[in-house]
Amino acid sequence: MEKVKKEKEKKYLSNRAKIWRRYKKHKLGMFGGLVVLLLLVLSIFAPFFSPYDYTKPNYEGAYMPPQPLNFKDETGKFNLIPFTYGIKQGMDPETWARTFEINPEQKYKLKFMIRGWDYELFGIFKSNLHLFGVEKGGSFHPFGTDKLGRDIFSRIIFGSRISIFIAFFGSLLSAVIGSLVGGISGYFSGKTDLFIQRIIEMFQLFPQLPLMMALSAAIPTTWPPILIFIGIVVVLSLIQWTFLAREVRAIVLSYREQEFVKAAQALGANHLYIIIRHVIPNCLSHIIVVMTLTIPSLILAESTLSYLGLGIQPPMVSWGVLLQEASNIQTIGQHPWIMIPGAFIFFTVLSINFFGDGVRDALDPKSN
Amino acid sequence: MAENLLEVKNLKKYFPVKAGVFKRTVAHVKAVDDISFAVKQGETLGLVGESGCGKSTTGRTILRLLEATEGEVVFEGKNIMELDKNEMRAIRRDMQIIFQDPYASLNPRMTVADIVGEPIDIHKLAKNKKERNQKVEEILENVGLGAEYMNRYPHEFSGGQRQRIGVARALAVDPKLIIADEPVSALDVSVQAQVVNLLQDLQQEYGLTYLFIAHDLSVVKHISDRVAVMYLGKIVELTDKKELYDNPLHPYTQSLLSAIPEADPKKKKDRIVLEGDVPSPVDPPSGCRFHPRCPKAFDLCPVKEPEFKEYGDGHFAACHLLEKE
Amino acid sequence: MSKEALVEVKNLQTYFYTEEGVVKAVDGVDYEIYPGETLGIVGESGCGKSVTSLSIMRLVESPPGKIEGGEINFQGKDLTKLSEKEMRKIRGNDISMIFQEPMTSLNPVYTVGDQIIEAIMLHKGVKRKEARQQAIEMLQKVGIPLPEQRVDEYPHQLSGGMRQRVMIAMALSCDPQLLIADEPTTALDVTIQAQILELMNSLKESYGMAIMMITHDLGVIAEVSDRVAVMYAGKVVEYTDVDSLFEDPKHPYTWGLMNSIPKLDKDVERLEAIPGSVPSPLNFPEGCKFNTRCPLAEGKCFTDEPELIDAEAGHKVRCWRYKDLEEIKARGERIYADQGVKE
Repeated sequence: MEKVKKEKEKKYLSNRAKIWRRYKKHKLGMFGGLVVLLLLVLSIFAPFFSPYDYTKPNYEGAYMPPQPLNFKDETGKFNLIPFTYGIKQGMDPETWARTFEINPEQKYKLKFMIRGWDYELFGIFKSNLHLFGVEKGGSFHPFGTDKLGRDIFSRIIFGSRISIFIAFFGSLLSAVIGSLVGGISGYFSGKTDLFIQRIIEMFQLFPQLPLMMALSAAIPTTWPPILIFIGIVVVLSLIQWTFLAREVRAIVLSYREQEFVKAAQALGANHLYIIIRHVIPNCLSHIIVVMTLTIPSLILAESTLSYLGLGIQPPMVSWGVLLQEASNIQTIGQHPWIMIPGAFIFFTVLSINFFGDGVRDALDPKSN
Repeated sequence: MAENLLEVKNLKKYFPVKAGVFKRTVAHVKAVDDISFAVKQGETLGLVGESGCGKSTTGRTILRLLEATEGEVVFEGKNIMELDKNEMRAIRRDMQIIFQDPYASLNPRMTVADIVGEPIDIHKLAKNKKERNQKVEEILENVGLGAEYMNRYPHEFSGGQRQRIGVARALAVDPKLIIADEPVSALDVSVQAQVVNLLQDLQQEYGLTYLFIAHDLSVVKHISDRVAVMYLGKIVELTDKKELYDNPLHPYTQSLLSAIPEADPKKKKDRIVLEGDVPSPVDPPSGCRFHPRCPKAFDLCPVKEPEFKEYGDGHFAACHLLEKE
Repeated sequence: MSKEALVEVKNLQTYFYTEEGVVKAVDGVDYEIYPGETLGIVGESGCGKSVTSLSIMRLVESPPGKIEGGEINFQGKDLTKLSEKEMRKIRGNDISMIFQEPMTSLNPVYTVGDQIIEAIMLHKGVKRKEARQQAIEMLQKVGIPLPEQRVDEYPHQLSGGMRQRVMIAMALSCDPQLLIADEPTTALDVTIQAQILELMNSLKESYGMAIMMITHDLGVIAEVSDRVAVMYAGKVVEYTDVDSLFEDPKHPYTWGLMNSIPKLDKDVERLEAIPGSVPSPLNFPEGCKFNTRCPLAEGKCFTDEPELIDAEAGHKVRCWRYKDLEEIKARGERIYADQGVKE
């Protein structure tokens, strides 16, 4: 009988373990998740990863092309520690364009955990420690510099801070508004639902871009950066919540009819209790998925706004602001590296989409 | 004779059929159309019928999970259709429901302790969490599940075990009446008997009264004291179970009894096979609703609706044939 | 039964490879179906009864499913070895199948006539006009009133019972030698179920085909089958003709099943419930698969799997202790005596 007992003890995987296992199977989702994680770390600890102060101009080194890291020196000898060459500035005698020539005499070794410019992390921790940099005297701009000689790599990292967090808070806020409105609409249905759905349709009737532009044009440019930041978040979520509300409504509608909700009603539970105990916990995973999939569109929306000069204002940087600098065809022709932020937007949006797909498949037990 | 715990009087439940842009009501689904019956203290009344006959709607309307269109539901002398929210909440402690689908009726994100403890929380029947969990443990023990299951989630259980959890939840408030809405039809054959036995044991132990709703006449007959047969929103026959089997009066009951395939190959029954399908409850047939399928229908049946009358001791039926005799 | 078997299933193994492990849905199943007879396959959910039929039709979804071993001999061919193209010729022509839910097996955007006509044209190679005539005849044969009108209706315009009749008409349109019916009446009401069972019995006689009736309902089995295979946990546990099965069940599971259902003509105080529930197919016990629920299980039952052996001529059972069960029955005792409410 002992044996029977043992066999009766089935092996159960907890729900979380199952979700994780399903997620792990989703290769693209795994990849996307890693990229998202990396971006988050990069943007949270932006100053640590930036070799240069993103606001500090260096008029000497404007529009410097990306500097490669070298392992082999001019004699063909292999160095274990990579280095950059010193840069000699010159002028093209015909076009008067500035030229940057390598000075093979000067070599600056790459160093990790190097002391550099001073910063305050989260406004509390003062430090000057950076992940990497080159020896004193040299320069290392992996993505080159912009028209004021600012390091584009550092600017992208700081830009990701704004772009990603705006998108994140924007989708969070629209998730809150959307869940609230969609939840009420789905749970009470009937006339309430009819009314709310018409309102949502009215919102959706407006063409998005002009509406977004009009709303953000109302944000005074004289506001302090943090208020502008909040303002843009609000504008974005005002545009986006209707889509979330629709999705949440559909989900709530399906849960409302579930028998366990009926059972709670039969027990004498009131609406608030049912919503908090039964409906929300079951909808939460759906809402998280919808939220994740909203983030990429908000990154694009923010970039669009900033590109048009209506979003984040310099000296703050976002990816949209960085791209604005690449809006002149002549500048791009001469200095193609200022387009690099565009590639970041592209890969970030793609990665978050993959991540969202992975999360959706993992949370949906039917995909098993 | 035992007193009536529940009396249903002229209960009607119509669902509007809406159409068009403005969702105007164009017709009604007459799911339950003027039915009356009583459930005595301590008995099991079986409510049997085919899909769409309104048996589940009846159960839910009695509990006011659906609002009745018309009629009274008198529970312990009070018409509960007139109660306000708070009075209704209090009375829900006395009337509980067990659902058909043990998968859909348990919230997948709650542990067994929370599911069974939910009624205790809602009605504040325990002073603290410890007391609550003690109660939950006791109830689980009573339905044949050990305390070791308390912190598990519904998906870790088999269908039969889930149904036990559903029964435990209904029991937690110490109800007087339990409406069992097809409690065994989603279960495997070998497990059905477990749940049926459990319900019978609990009835004895707690002195419960059951309204047992099912489509399977053999299960209903086994567990019930009296049986009501429904067809298209109406009760066509109501009597005690032995009488129903030995002396079915209504032609529908007769054909229902003969249609059930019995697990005995030696017994080749003389079967009354009904023609056609159950008509739509949106536009039910005139007169007696059973007349288009009835093998014994005559000229009066499509014209006049038969009355639900008593024929012999506690044997009610609605059929013109009986009146003729 | 000296006749030659129409279908002979030998040691069939169909496994599903899932994330959680290998599910041995069908694990060494043997049975035969003779021409013109009805073989009933009875068992509870997850016992593998549907998977055996899908294996015969070679409709097991792959992946995750795979026929891992055994033979299915039909007309001198081993169906497990045929190519998909050869199999397509057999499906619908020699063997056809009807399912539990007729709504999902009919295409909602075509009229029922179109669907039958297409099947007839495909398998018989006749012209459309002739196929239509045959379709109307078929609908008439399965008892659909006004077949000339119904042939142009869409599935949603028909009731559940009518749809199942249409499915039967479609399945029979090419005179198959074997009709597999997978819980054909489970989704239907009792009065409609009676109609369909009646219809199948009369069609079987007029067509002379064999039927494989898969169901969980012992009543349906008793009503229509000639011989019965009882399945539990991917194996046949008892296999005999219908009369001796119901008169003298030799496996404790069969015995339990029969006594756990209430009977209309007998009043009992309590039902004899089989304790516990069906083990998860990922976690079948060692030895006899029924040992977790069997009141007779002891010693050998927990270590060695019994073979399907002849207890009597033509009555096979897979149990170490069937002789002891015999004695218990002779004494008139119950094995699933009152267990209280415990699992």
